[in-house]
This record gives sequence, structure tokens and C-alpha cells, in this order.
Amino acid sequence: MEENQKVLTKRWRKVDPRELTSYRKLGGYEVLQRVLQMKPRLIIEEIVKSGLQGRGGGGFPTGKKWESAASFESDEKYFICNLDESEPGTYKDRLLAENDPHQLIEGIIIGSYAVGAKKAYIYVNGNFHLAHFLLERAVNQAYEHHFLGQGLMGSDYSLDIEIFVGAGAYICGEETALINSIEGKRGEPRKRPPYTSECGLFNKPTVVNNAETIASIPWIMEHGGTKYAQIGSNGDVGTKIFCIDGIVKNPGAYEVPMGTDINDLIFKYAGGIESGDEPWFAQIGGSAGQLVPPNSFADSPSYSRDANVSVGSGALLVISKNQDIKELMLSWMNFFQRESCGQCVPCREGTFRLKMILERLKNGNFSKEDKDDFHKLIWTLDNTTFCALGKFSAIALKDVVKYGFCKELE
Amino acid sequence: MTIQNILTKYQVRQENLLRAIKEIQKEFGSIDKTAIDEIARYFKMKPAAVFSAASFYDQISTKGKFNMVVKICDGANCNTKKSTRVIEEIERFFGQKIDDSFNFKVKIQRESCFGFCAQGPIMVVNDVMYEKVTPERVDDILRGYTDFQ
Ligand SMILES: Cc1cc2nc3c(=O)[nH]c(=O)nc-3n(C[C@H](O)[C@H](O)[C@H](O)COP(=O)(O)O)c2cc1C
Ligand code: SF4
Ligand code: FES
Repeated sequence: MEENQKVLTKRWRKVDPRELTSYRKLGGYEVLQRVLQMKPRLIIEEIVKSGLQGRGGGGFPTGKKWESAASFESDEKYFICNLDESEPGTYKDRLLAENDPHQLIEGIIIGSYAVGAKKAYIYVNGNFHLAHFLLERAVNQAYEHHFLGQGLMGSDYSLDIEIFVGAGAYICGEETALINSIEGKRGEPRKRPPYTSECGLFNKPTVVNNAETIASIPWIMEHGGTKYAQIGSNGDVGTKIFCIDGIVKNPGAYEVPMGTDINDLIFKYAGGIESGDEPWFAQIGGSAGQLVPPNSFADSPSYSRDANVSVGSGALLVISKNQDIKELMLSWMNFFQRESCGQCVPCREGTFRLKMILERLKNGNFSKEDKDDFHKLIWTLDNTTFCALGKFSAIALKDVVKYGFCKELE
Repeated sequence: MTIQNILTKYQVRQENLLRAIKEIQKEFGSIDKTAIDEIARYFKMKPAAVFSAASFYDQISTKGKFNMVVKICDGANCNTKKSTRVIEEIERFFGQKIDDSFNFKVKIQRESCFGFCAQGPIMVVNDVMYEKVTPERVDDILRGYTDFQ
């Protein structure tokens, strides 16, 4: 397998994102014709074979998710493309929509057909104006060219896609909160079980996939699951977009094979460290991500449970030796406090109180009680909250303590 | 355009509620008590349920219309690019603290992440986005708005 295999970004800057005809000229929608003649079961088998893992953060096997939704009998099923992307430092899904919107639509059609959904939604972050415009245009053009609607492409399959624009809430990226939001409710996570694949949108079997997951689908169907599974190393497959930022020479988004280590991400892709600066640590996966000291930069971000470094959202922020850690901790906690949906007490109160404590730490009036409370609150957030947001809010702070990055907390 | 005009563009379906609320907000600046009541009647819901949903989202204001809304990204990436200094400069310009809810004309608000991190710090004034904002540029940008008022 060639080293620079592009799956997700191969058409970027070559295709005109405003024109379906341009996408077609570059081979777009070709595989769809063939897929629509396949039995849905065989499509799912191909995705299982590919080993594709969800790019929304959790790394759940996509084939397994589709198998589950397909197994439930129902006259109505839904397929949702999660483009609410709002993890700080992460903007890969926005770029996928802005640079190649039809690739997403083709992926959505394949996924919907495979699980038996006749209606799909794209849930777009409310700040992504250009992405929204281009997706809307792409959906309209897809209808005009009969890639959507009744009996699409001359088959007996019908699919409608609707775009739903979010209204500024990080928690709506969580799939059950997202579903509540489409249903016109507060975007609060639901209790599970029942699971989304059985009882999701309007209580029907539903698949929610991240946009980057969906963008991988047409390539897999074109080249085969086996070929996809050959990309990557160290037990992780396929390619992934990393958004690299901080004290690197060329901040930006890079598609890399899974298994690429942090050193390569920084030096081979992002041009290395800015001259005159030195990394203190890196944060992987946005504000919900863990901290990695330079002596572990040879590790590669992975979806495997026992990996040293998790991929998370795929953001990589390289932090300078000169960073004021108290200010950064406050920014993390401000974020989680603002975005806590408020449904459960440990997260609502815990993030608020930690924020106050971190403010005092920054302003120099941090007391002995504050220190004790800090550790208790971290434990509470880590262990007792209703959804994963509470747990996320404790990850980086735990690492600050673990690596001794802030002496007042020791 | 009246609230009713806007509402009738939407079928009475759950997934149209947030869409209608957003369009009314766009036209009228915020969602007030009258709007809540009309929306509730149209969607056959309790006003409290409409309010509960509307007030959940950052981009929907149930607290009145501001002449000027200044949003500054305080996500971790912008923070490492010194967004705190930019915030201080904005506060100085208006003589008002961030997230202070007492001024009914100007609202200065911390935002989570606009997804344009590599171009940060990001500041958005009345829906117009400014990239790579430095403390030195704040005065220039904001003056472009206040000088007209
Ligand atoms: C607090 C929170 C925020 C999340 N935000 C997003 C998001 O912005 N985009 C996304 O695709 N998944 C997000 N997720 C994960 C989704 O719940 C879901 O697992 C994902 O969309 C599934 O897609 P995948 O299997 O393709 O990864 C979030 C989860 C949590 C707990
Ligand atoms: S953990 Fe936080 S975000 Fe999740 S349900 Fe509880 S309050 Fe809401
Ligand atoms: S952190 Fe500011 S735009 Fe992403």
C-alpha cells in the first residue's frame, strides 16, 4: 500500500464543491450504481471486513452498528450524519463538507440503503455557514439528478435527505442529545438502553455516524473492505484526518494512515516545531483529550482500548513550554461548564465549582480546601455523571496532576 | 413579516420547531413571550415546553435583543493563541465585563470553538467573523461598529 493513500481528501481542491457534475467527472456516484444492485447484507459485510471504526471519537465498529440497525424490523428507519462537530480544535468534518460535499451524500445513500432507512438527516453545526450552504446545494442537485428521491437511479429504492442546523450546543454532538434536538426538544442525552440502533429518532431504529466515517464509505465500496483494512499499522486501519495546531510551523488538517505516531504528525506533516519554541506536552482529542508528554511522542493515537494514546476527535494541540497552565485549565473548564446540559447534578455543579476553583488558582487565592475539593470533584466527574461529557471534563485535569504540570495541585 | 407568516411556512412537525424558532429570531432579534405563545399555539405544544427547548440553545436568545453581540472564542486552541488578552481589550473598549448580563445594548460572550482554530483567535461581531485577532486590532474592528451608532 502506498504510503500517502488518500481516502477522504483525494478530491480536495480538484473537485468543484458547488457542482455535482464536477464530482461525477472525477468518478463520483459510480460505485453507488453498483451498490444499489447489491443485497444490503453484502454491503454490510464489506464494511465489517474493512474494519472501519467510527471517527466520532468512540471508535465503534461501523459494520457492527449497521448490522444491528439492519436487524430490527421496522417500516421506518433513520440514518443520521453527525456533522455537529464542536470539540475545540476539531474541524475535519467542516472541511469534508466544504471540500467534497457529494462524497458525504454518496456515503449517506449507501449507508441508508444498507440499513434500510428511507429518510436521512445531516445535523450541521450552526456555525458552519459555508458547509451548510454547500450541503444544501449538493442535496438539491442530487435530487435533480435522481440520486435522491423516489426510485433513485432507476432502482426501486427511495431516500430523502433533510438538513438540520444545530443552534450552538456541544452536547448535541452526543447522539441521543442530537436526536432530542431534531425532535424539537432540549438537547439532553437520553438514558440507554434502549440503544439508538433499536430505538432512536422518533423511537425508530436509527444509525448515527460521524461525517468522517461516512466519507470513508464510498472508497471502501469502490476498492473493497480488504484493501481498506490494509491501510494503517499497529492494529489500526484506514486513514484519518488530524487537525494539528499549537506551536507547529504549518497548522492545519492532514489525512494520514492510522498508526502514524505523534512525532510524524508534528514533524512530517505539520512542518515541525516553530523555531525558538519547545513543546511541553501535546493534547490529543480536543479539550476532552488526554495529555501526552514529549517522551511519548513515539506513540501513535489508536482506537484500541489498551492503547497509551487514544485518537478521540483527532485534534492535536502542541503546547509550548511557555504556556500558562492555569489559564489553559480554566479555558478547559470554562468550556465544559458552559456546555454541560445541566441535566445531572454532578456535572452541572461539579464543572461550575471546578471553574470557580480554577479561577482562584489563576488569581493566586487558592486555598487548602480548594485543593481537596479539586481532587474530590475530579473523582465525582470521572465516576458519577449521566453521560460522557462529565467524564470528558476530568481527563485533561487528571493528566495535569499525573504529570505534575501544576505544582499547586500536588 | 409577522410571526404568523413565518410559522405558516413550516409544517406542524416536531423537527420544524427549532427551525421556526431560529427564523423568528433572525427576523425579530429574539424570542419573547408573545413569540413563545404563538409558536406554542401553532405547534400545538405547551408554552413552557417551547420555552424550555428554545432557552437550551446558545444561538437562541430569550432575553431580548442586543444592538451588538461580540463573541470571542475561548476554546483551548484560541486560548493558547492569547485570546484572554483579546478579551481584556474588548472589556476595556466597552467598559464592561465579559458575560455581564446587565447591559441591554451590548453583549460580550465567550464562545466554545468556531471550528476555525488554525486561524484563531476568532472573534465574531454581529455574525461577521474576524480571524487572527490581536489585542491591537480590537479597537479598530469594534470602532467600525460603534461609530455608526
Ligand atoms: C459530549 C459528547 C459530544 C460528542 N460530539 C460529537 C460530535 O460532535 N460529532 C460526532 O460525530 N460524534 C460526537 N459524539 C459521539 C456520538 O455520540 C456518536 O458516538 C457518534 O456520532 C457515532 O458516530 P461514529 O460511530 O461514526 O463515530 C459525542 C459524544 C459525546 C459524549
Ligand atoms: S454529564 Fe453533563 S452533559 Fe451529560 S447529562 Fe449530565 S449534565 Fe448533561
Ligand atoms: S478553539 Fe477557537 S475556533 Fe476553535
